[in-house]
Amino acid sequence: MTDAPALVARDLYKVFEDRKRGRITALDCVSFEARQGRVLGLLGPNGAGKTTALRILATLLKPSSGSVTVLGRDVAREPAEARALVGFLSGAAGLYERTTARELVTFFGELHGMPPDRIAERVERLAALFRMGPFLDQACGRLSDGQRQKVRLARMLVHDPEVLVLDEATANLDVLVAREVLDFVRSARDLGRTVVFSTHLMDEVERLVDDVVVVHRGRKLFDGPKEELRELGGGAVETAFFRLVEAAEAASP
Amino acid sequence: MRRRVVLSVAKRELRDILRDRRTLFATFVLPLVLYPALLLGFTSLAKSAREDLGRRELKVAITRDGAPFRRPAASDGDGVAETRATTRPAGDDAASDPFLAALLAHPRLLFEDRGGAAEAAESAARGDVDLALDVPSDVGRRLARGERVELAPTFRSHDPPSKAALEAVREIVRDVRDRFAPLTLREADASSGRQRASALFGGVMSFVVTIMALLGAFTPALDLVAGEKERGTLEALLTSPASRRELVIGKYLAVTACAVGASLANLGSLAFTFQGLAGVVASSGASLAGSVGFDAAGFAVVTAALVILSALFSAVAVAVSAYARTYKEGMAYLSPLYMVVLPLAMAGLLPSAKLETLAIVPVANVALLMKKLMAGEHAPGAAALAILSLAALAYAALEATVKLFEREDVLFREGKGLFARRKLEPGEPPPAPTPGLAAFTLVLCVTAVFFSGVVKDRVLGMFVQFGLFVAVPLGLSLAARFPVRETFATRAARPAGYLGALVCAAGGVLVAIVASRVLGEDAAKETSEELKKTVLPLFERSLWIGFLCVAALPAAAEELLFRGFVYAGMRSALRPFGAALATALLFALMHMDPVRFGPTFVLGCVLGALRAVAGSVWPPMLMHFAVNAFAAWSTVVAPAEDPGLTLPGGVMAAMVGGGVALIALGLFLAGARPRRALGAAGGDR
Repeated sequence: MTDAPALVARDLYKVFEDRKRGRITALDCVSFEARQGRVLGLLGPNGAGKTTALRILATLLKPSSGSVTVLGRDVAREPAEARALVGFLSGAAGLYERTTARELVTFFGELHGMPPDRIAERVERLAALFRMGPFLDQACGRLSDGQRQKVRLARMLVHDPEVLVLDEATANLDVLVAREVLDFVRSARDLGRTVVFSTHLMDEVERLVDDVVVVHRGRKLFDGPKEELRELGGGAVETAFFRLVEAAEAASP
Repeated sequence: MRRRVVLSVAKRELRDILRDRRTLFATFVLPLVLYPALLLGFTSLAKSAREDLGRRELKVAITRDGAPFRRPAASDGDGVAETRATTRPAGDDAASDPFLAALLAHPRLLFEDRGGAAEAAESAARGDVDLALDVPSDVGRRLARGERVELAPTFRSHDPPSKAALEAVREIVRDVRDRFAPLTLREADASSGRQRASALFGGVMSFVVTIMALLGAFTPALDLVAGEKERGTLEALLTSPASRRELVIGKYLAVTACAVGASLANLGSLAFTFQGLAGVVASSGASLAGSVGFDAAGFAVVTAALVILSALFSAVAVAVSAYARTYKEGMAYLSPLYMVVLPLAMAGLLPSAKLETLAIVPVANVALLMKKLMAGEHAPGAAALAILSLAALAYAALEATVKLFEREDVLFREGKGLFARRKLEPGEPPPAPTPGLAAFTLVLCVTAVFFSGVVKDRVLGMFVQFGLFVAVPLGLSLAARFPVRETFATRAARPAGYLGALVCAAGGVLVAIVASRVLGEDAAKETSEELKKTVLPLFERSLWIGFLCVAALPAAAEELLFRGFVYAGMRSALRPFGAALATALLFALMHMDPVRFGPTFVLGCVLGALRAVAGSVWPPMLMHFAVNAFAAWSTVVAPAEDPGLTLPGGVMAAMVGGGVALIALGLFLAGARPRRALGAAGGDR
């Protein structure tokens, strides 16, 4: 396990034009690095810019300025190469209702240009890993929330990506499934994968994350190891987070 | 059941529905406007078609005892051939035959000599004349004696003018019967079963099938993109290494397959149903059983046309779907689309609509082609033009859809609409139209021409048509925030630019004079006849109105549209002269006249080159005005004494050489710039 940054986001700046609300700066010069074999937690309240940042990492959105490189590949210039290295999971993402879990994961393997036997092999491995056997050939529309989340994980992992980007991956899940997701993230880290994980839950930060980036209203308030953040709050991440946000609000109300 | 609870549920739902402006528009406002507008448009088109038919002279070939019917003077021996020309035969026979007299006196019947009875009947069957009728020489005598007489006119029941001619004859027969003896008609319908079936069912069938192609594309397309957005499955798709182009074309293929399936299934089912109906319905006394459908070649052409029409609809539907946030929002966009497609799909229901004139009007061309092929009539040229223009359009629409799919502000619609205004980042080039948008604009304009036919007054109609030529691209430019000045190249040219334009015009006129001689008398005559028919009434109002409508309006509107907007679109992908060439091609196609294609293409090339070298739309506008004004002046105001005058080959070669040299000089003048400003302002190089 080396300590080289696998993912580098430089001066990300993103502006949306809104007919009613005018110009919205979703990200204002945000930089961070995710190191191989570590979990980077993107922490912030709702509307802080977490999802926008992760969507840029996943090449869904283009930054207004700034750049992202994944293992040396520039996301804007080589989107296809970068996408092959990244697995993206959003808690809100849907599944095709009339497609079975196996068909869905196979389809994404095909989009990645993988050969059929390799896809079949990956599907079997992921099905074993997430204990998907009983519902592998059922239409996604008939699965429970927990089963659906497993299908999403399998979909994200079909091409065995180096960097995993998870946007609120445990939202709307019961504690049992949420724990399974967190366990998976931990095991992926232990296998040397790089993980970027956004959340607004302090508990998840405490249990899972190695490095933390705190964002608020599109600005970065903190960037460093979890221990450092904890010290800032006198031993508790939550206290540190409140202090950072309050200070920022006081500076620019 | 508690009534209050039911009512409050209903109230809440209604409030919710009424707050959705799109639903309101689609359910209430649109129908209020749509059907009256459709009815108005359709009836006025049908009325003008009826009036056209009412004005038309009806060609009738009459024979006497099976022999050609000639003027008594012609029977002397000489000048027999002369009577092939359309004449109104008169003779002593007429005096003794009340039927023949009434026939010859009819104001709308025009008599043509087509030889003996058999040849005449053949002419009527082919459609060269509207009706053939043999009138035995003893009819007058027998009528006077009160004997029963039967006549057998040949006509074509599927052809409106032919039916009108028959109706005129029937009227005379009724009149004669009232005054004399029983005179009856044994009508011989020369229309084939297919032709009659097409006249009966073709309009409805082509209408339903084209509309079903639209629906067949729309429903799956909405589910494929807007539905994916709604269910949140699009994100995962977009994070895969598949490019946006691969994704959109894959989806597009699936939608097209559905649309093709839907239109072919409807075609088959309708043909089958009408086939059954045809067995019951008899037309002109003959059953139409087995007459509904196509021959093998016709079926192949119709299938090809439907595939391409489906491809076009699919591209539009996928674009709408990419833009819409939800399935429901997408459905709301279907109604305005209907408003455009519906009247076009009705083309087959209009008896006067001809495939030849509407070959590049999308949707209408497919409907008319289908109807024509149902009648067993093949028109390879018009069919090819229709299919090729549709294919070009479908391709442009697909390209535009791919572009739309690549725009994150459209795909994610983070509060921002398609036409939202965005401040340009410093150093960012201003947006410009693309070739696809240019092609799309032209189609809108062609379609606008189709609709502006509703306006009765000719001059007003021209103002509407040419106004739309400017309004459509201008509106699109404003919506998309293209800089108007640059897009339409409305910056003034240097004086040399205008001088160059006039020199080019002089050269163009020289070449055009020779071209009209070389193209042959027939083509030239046909064109000028056609021109006279449309242009003459304008000049009859006043010289100024004539020149305004024939020279000034087209020059201004067509140049702003073609050398302004379309050129700018082409220029975004091509070098200046490539853009000029592409623009000229579209310019020639838009004139929808195979005879004039060559001349308009050459004219378009010179106009485009002028636009390129002068960097302004005004010099080509001046040249266009000068050329049109000369054409109008020479054909209408001061027509040549002898249009058939042939020029010696040497003179023609010299004229062409001089013309080309003048054009080259004009372009050089327009492009030349002061030494100090070299390479700076001016031309679009």
